[in-house]
Amino acid sequence: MTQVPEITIEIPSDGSQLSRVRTAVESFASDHGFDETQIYHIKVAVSEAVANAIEHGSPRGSANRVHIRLKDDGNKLVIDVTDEGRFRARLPTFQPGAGYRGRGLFLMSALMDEVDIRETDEGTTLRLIKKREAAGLEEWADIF
Amino acid sequence: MRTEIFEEIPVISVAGEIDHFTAKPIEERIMELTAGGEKYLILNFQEVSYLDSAGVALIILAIQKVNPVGGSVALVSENRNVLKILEIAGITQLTQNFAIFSSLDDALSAIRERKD
Repeated sequence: MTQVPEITIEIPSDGSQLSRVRTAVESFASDHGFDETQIYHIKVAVSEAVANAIEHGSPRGSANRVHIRLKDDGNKLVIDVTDEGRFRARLPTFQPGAGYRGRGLFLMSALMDEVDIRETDEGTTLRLIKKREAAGLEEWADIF
Repeated sequence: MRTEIFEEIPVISVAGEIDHFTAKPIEERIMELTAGGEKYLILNFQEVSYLDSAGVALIILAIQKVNPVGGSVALVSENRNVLKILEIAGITQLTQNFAIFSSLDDALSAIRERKD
């Protein structure tokens, strides 16, 4: 199995692309040794981030692009989702009746080890980090 | 997605992935059924392999729609990844007008009991 340390996926800003992104994320995370549960969590977090970029970070609709970069950084997987919009407009709202709108960001925070948002003049990058699990008992047994 | 009526109880069965793109037609179906006066709704997600906040939003929508008329929503899923997302979102703690079942038969029995 060949491990590519980093891949970038570029998609038109369109919801029909979400499934394709998840397939790529699953393949990358699987190749890099993440387990089934971790992969599911990573898929949800990335899918939420991309859906967010499509809905709020694409002022020109599907003419905009979303870039997803997946990088194996040794003890962690680093995922950058970059769009062409400003982040401020998409902070979760907690008004009655719109109670679920903030759940995308909430799920990302719950499922990943770190969530970081960076806004520049060109667009917004949402960084998601998933750490590898600590060594299992068997591995500790080998060490001692 | 398909909708069937079992003993006057509408069952929306979904297979595959529920994300922010694929949720739209399911949302429309929930709106149609509840606007048509349905008080009870079964969301059969037994064949759903992936669900994120878009799926959570669907469930909340259904509960919000049947709540004012004293109805209820039953969700069917045994997928532990799906159930984990619902747990994180706080859905599994909802007990009024909502419950999760591991089979469609159990969901139908529970709704039948409520109706009687």
